[in-house]
Amino acid sequence: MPKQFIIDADAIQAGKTRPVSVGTLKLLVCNSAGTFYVIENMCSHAQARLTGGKLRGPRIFCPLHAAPFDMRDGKALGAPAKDPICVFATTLEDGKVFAELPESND
Amino acid sequence: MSVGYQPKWPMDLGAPADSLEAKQPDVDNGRELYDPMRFYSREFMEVEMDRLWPRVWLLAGVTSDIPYDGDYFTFEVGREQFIIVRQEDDSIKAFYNVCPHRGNRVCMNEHGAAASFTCAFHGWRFGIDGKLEHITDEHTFDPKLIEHRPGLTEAACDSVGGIIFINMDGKAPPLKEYLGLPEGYIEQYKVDEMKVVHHVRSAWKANWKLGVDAFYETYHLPYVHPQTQGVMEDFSQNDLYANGASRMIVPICTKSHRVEDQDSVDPYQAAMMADVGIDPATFSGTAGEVREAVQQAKRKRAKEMGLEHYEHFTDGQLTDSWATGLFPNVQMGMHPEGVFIMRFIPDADDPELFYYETMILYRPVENPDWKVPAWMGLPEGTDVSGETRPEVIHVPLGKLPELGEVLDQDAELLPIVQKGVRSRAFKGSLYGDQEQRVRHFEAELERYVTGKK
Repeated sequence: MPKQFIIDADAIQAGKTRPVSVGTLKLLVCNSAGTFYVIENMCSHAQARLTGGKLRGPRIFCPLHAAPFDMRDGKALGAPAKDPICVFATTLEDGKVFAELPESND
Repeated sequence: MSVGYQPKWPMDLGAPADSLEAKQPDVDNGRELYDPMRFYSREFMEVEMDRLWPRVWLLAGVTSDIPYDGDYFTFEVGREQFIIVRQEDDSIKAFYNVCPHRGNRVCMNEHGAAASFTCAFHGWRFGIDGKLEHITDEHTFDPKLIEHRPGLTEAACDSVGGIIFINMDGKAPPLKEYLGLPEGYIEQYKVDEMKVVHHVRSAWKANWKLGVDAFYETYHLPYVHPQTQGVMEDFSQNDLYANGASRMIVPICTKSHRVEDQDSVDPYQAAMMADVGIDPATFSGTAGEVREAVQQAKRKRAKEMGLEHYEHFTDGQLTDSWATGLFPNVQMGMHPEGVFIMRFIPDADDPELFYYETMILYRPVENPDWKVPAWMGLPEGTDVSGETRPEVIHVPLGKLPELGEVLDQDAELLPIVQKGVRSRAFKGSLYGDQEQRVRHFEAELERYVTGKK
């Protein structure tokens, strides 16, 4: 799982999300009150994009049916989702967001 | 130092008449025996569904649960469920959780955050303001059928002191007038600064009013909860307010007057002293002096820690429980350190089933020397930081709510009382003066179900 540069932190305001493509991976970078999370931009319930989902602490709420997920482990925290979403270990270094992505993603 | 009050009936703690602690004048609610069928009849339940629940203000939740726009929680009572959601202009609105298209719920979680609500049945979407935003394949609908742009149905919503209430039919009197409490009563606790740290909803096999009735008096303490006698007086100061509201002040950190030995300190009293930094081993006073000693210790600690909100409370409020009843189905145990909100929620279909719901609100204190009071009974490991709203713990029938020994004793008792009130031998409750809050509540209920209100 090589660590890859994803985006400059200052490109995303607190409380906002931003979709980023890396190879074939559709990612969503989330800035929840200064803590960054890189997750796959796909809800496990109805395959909706999570772009624009509300962020509260480590949780994101799908903008379509409001299903909550924990961005630390991907776990679905409530209806209508049951399955987890894909999340990636994320670090913030010198104002840059890095994530550990699978090797073959292009 | 003495116990600080006269433990005789009628109980009056002797607070100044213009204070919020003052004993209120009695109200004559008569001697009527109410037909016990109110505790089990389906017909009576239907009358309540029609004449009571839609017409009153119901405690829905707390403002600190929804700090940002799009934050919501749901609230269920009987057959109805509501979404309470913070708006972009910071106001709070309540909507029936029902899609106007085919009746599905549009929100399926007990709390969360949403930019809009999309029905999971056919994808109709509604704004957090309840307005219709999108109809899937709108061109396949007769325009006349949807020309009123059906949105979510709104219920009246208002808040006082950080507590949110809803009124289904929108015709109840203004909230503060309805609640019947003196000005500033709820506000003094600053519930908006507290956080829900524990939330349990447990099913009890009894009518919801038997729940209210049991929690509205301390007359049963020596029999159901004898262990409280070492740390709690069971003569309470009962105060009856307008519109069915009432309060009982239960002196705590003190022994019941029924206990012969008023000198030696009870182990529960010792624990409450230790909680506020008094070493029980070196305490030289009697059991009767513990309550005042705890009050003084709390004052001293509040000064040292800069806890300014304590200044507004009387000495009695620092130890005693101000159990405050809001008509029809709420009791709040009010303390400077936190507030226990209890709701007695009727089931949708079964008059002999209710949900005892308790939300423990805690005021976070940022001081390394501060300890969470042990008497709050929070389970070990409870996160009191207020950063993450805990999930609601649902306890099914047949399991105890595990909210401490006292509540478990009530949970075991009430299903047995429910059986007894159904007997042909039982003619109606005989409420004594120690149960005057119960009669005050039942008399107000009677006004609603008989059409006098």
